[in-house]
Amino acid sequence: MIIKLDNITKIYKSSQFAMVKALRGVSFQVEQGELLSIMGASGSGKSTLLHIIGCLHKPTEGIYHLCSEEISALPDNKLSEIRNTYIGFVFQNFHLLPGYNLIENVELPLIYAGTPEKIRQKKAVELLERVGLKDRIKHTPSELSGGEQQRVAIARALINSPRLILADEPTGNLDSKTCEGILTVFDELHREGITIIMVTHNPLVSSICQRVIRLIDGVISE
Amino acid sequence: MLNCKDLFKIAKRGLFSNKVRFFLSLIGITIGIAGIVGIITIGEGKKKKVNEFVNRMGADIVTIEGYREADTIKDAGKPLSKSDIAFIKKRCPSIKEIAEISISGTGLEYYIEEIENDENIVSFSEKGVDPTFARVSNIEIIKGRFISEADVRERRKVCAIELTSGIVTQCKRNLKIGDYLTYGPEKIKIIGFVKTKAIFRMLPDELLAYWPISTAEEILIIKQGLIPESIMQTICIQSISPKKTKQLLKEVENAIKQRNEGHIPSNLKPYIYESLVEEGLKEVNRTTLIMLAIALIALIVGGIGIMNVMYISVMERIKEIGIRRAVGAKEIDVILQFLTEALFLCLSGGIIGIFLGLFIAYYFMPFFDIPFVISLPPITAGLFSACIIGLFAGLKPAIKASKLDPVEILR
Repeated sequence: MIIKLDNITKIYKSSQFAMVKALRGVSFQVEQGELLSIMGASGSGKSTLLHIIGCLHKPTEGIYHLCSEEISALPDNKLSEIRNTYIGFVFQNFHLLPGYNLIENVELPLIYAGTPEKIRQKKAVELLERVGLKDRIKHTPSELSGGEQQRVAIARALINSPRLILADEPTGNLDSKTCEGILTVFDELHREGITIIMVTHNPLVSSICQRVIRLIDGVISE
Repeated sequence: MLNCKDLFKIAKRGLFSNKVRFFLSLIGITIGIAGIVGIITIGEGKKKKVNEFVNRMGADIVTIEGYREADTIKDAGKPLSKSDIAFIKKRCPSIKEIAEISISGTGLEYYIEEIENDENIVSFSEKGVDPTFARVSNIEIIKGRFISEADVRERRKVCAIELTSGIVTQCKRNLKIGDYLTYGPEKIKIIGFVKTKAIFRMLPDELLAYWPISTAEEILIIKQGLIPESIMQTICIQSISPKKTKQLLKEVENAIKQRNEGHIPSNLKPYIYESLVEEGLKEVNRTTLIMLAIALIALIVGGIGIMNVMYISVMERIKEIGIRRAVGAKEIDVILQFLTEALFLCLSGGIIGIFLGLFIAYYFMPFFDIPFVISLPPITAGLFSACIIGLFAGLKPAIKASKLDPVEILR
């Protein structure tokens, strides 16, 4: 078991007086190697859930175990460390560093892990080769198409050999043909035994998943 | 956590992403640091000048210039008598030697014997000295001898000539030992040529003749009828070491106070050469003060400018911060990144400022007649203040950047 969520609640303060209950007691478990998608309408709390799983936010209430470590009690710099060692992120808008070439973008997480430069670059080149961008390594993100940028983002998510990949609408900004390519990459990763959680409202994406969690107004409905 | 090399790389990248802004933001700091460096360089030059002067004149000497125009000076005290001098000697533990010199008010005319026409009239200033003067003023005998105890005791009409550039330019022929200087009816024999370290406010080309103090008193007061008050009495007091000179000054002041009912008469005020030069440097001090004010304003404005630039830089690169945080950068990593940028910015300004400051000092110091020296203090002060400003200007924006919520940023 890699993830165990127990009665997770998240309340945002949307203004001085109004509170938004984004999650109202979500509990589920994810096994090592699962390919899982979280679906739901916008505002259903699926992104919030992903942020909590990704250690970007702490739950207001509830207990979250990642790799049998209790996350909800950890300080901020420890959370950064966990993001750095266990988790790879893939975002809808790719979120690559503009002006940095592909190697520099992909090696980014390892900089914060303190990995020596040579090893970082070697690994980055290997991963870029794997996602099919071997001959573009010196290019900057703005010179790439959306699909290519997302491949770079996947390479970046993989460089710290994470146990968990979190993807927030990974195909949301891609046309259906590129989408298929990206999904193939995720599928391969799944076969290698990496746990993947994807937030999406694209049925095509959830179709490759073994398990789908549906959120409605901050509650799981199965 | 980031290692130093990566930190510098990231900071450099961040700075050079907007080169024009980078250089514009440096201007304030550069001017400020240049000012600081210039001021300290001038200060160092001043120190050197003071030291050179004091060492030339005698770093270990306290002087009292006695009853010059005593009746016209308000609050004048009586000239120091032999017993006063003995009292000073007893009361000041830092004294090594004490020497009395009498100098007439103005340079009196002497004729060089043998050729008595107007063209050979040269003016010598005369100093009546006792032999201790030779020790106090560190006399170097070039030729012949100096005034001896016997000369003083027997009131011999002899003199020693100070070798200065004036001797060459003003005397038509070379003076030699055995020549006579004629002063009225008196003939004074030259017994030696000397060079002194302490030359007592002398103009570079002034001619000086040292007589036995007793001879000077006899000729000037008794025979020439000068009133004693018009003869200057100079007392040179040597301290046991140059470091004790200031202490000696205090001791002498106290001794004179005790002899004059608790105050120091204006004509008996002891001084040291150091304060004499510093008096002459008042103009420089005023200029440096103005420079300091300008430099401080420039530094503050420059520092605020850098802070502003850092805030803009944080806002511009907010997405970058979010990405870095998401992939594992800690708060401290983000703080260090922006702090390093601010420091780098200020240090660049500082280094340019140091060169500019030295350059300005190099061109302006000759106007104040101060020697230009490149020394460590202005450079370290420049770098140090640049670092302080970098920290001061960078810290708040950096902390702000680190506290940003990556989820908010990347939404």
